[in-house]
Amino acid sequence: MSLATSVRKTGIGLLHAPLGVQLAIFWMLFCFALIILFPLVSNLSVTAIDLTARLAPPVGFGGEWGHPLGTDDLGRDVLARLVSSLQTSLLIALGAVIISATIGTTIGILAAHLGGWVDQVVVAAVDAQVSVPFIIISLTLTAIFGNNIVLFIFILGLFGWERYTRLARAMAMASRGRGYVLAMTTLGFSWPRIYLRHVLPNIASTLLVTATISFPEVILLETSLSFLGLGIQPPMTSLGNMLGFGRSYLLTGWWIAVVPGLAIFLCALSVSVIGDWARSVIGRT
Amino acid sequence: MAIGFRLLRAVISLWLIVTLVFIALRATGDPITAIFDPDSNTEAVLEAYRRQWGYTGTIFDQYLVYIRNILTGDFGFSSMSNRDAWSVVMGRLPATLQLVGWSAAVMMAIGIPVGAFAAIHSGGKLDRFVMGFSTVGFALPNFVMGLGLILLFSVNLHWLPSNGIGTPQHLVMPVLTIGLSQAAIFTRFVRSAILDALKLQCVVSARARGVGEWTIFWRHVVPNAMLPLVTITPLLVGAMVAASAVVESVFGWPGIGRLIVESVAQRDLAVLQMIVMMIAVVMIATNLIVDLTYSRLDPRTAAARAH
Repeated sequence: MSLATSVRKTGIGLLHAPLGVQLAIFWMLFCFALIILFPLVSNLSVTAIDLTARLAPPVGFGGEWGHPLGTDDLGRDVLARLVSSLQTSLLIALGAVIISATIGTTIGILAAHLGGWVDQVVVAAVDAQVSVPFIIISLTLTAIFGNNIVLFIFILGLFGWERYTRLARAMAMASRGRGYVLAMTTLGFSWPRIYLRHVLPNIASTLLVTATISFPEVILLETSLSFLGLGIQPPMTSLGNMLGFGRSYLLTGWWIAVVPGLAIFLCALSVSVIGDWARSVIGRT
Repeated sequence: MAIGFRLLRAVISLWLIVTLVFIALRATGDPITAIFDPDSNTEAVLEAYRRQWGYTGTIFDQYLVYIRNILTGDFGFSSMSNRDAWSVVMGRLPATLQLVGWSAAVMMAIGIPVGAFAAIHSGGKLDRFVMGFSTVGFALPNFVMGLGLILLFSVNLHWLPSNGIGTPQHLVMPVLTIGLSQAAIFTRFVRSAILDALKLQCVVSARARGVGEWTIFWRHVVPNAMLPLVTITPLLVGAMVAASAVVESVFGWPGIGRLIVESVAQRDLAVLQMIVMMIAVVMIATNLIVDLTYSRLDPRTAAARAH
């Protein structure tokens, strides 16, 4: 099925989506709106320290509207930090998914096109990748090459490349026998043009489905590594390292950990609910 | 022949991983100056250490020494604990095995009965509840769930210790965290495996012959559902390894998982490389055992190979 058909079907399906899916979409839209609008309407700062209001509880638990979700141990506003963390975590996850989809698809198509030993090496690499838990690979790379943001995004961008490679390779091989590819070849069009303009649009919706499966997993990987102190480093903040710092204050300020923890859970849940539903609408398992 | 071929492939995979680790370690520069500050040690001292640890000669000579050391269980010296890496890692192994063993028991105790029940009553209320629970469990990361349990059972109720090892009470929360999150995945697999087996023709024909439902379940459904479940074992083992790295750090559990995180933070490459190779051995062995069990469980694959 072509990408345009998939998008149209998804659009129509949206009107009849179950309540859970609509809530999930609402939550994600809310998050994106918060990321875009919050800095415009609020003067609460991520780093501003309010020493007179350290460990202030959220509204509803004895707090005041000056800091709606309370403050942390240094008196920094938890809501402002949450918005900044959401932005970091969601943008990094999105970037990582785009990187791994691009790398994986390119390798898959190349393997299918070139065949021979290149194909053998790619298949062996995919098998090797599947057999080792990715978090171990990413920890090893972090230990060897040190911890910095560029490397971190690159490592996350490797997550799941083998899924796209497998799919793209199989589908590119299948499409070589299709009439339109044979026709283009006979007409003398170049290979890159055939793959980019004709094969890729035809397999895009399947790759997109794979990306929706990977997206929540990348969010969880990034937050896990940042939680362990091996991902995003201060002064930058992500949902994971916010939670990592908050765990020291479970006794005196539970909200510092609970707020990012809930945000991680709701984002991962929403994205996977939306993904499950999109898959069933597009009509592929 | 098939077994020999599979063993060979397992050995080649292991050799590839050892080689990759060697290349990665050497890519970061001189291993001696990484351990000893070249400013405070004379060149003669550094040279003596080079000779002692086999860092002399061409890179290929060093590679051979490296392989020989690995084969004799010499993984180098842990800079973080001042002992050899082997004894550091082996000292941490029992704690992880205890944690993973109990978690696997919880996972199966929940996954098998609940998944089977959901499949048999597919489409019913409980089935939908199980699928919902599984989606939630998938999206709830280990460390969020772990901290939630600490908040509830340690901070508010004062029932369980939040940190450490020793008593059965210490085991409860880490085991629940890993066991429940794995059960969320495993239940789904059990359900779909049994659902697929229920649709097989042998089940339909047995039902038509008037065989009792209970007999059908044990004679036809369970053996057929075993196959896909055996296939996902490596996936579950991998997920357990990944989960223990995070959960052991949350609960201060002194096992291999926390050791990985510590060795990465301290850049203790000797310990890290040993853990990576140990995980590789476990994963490759799991895959090998699954391959061998599979042909034993499914006579059709053995027959197909005979052609």
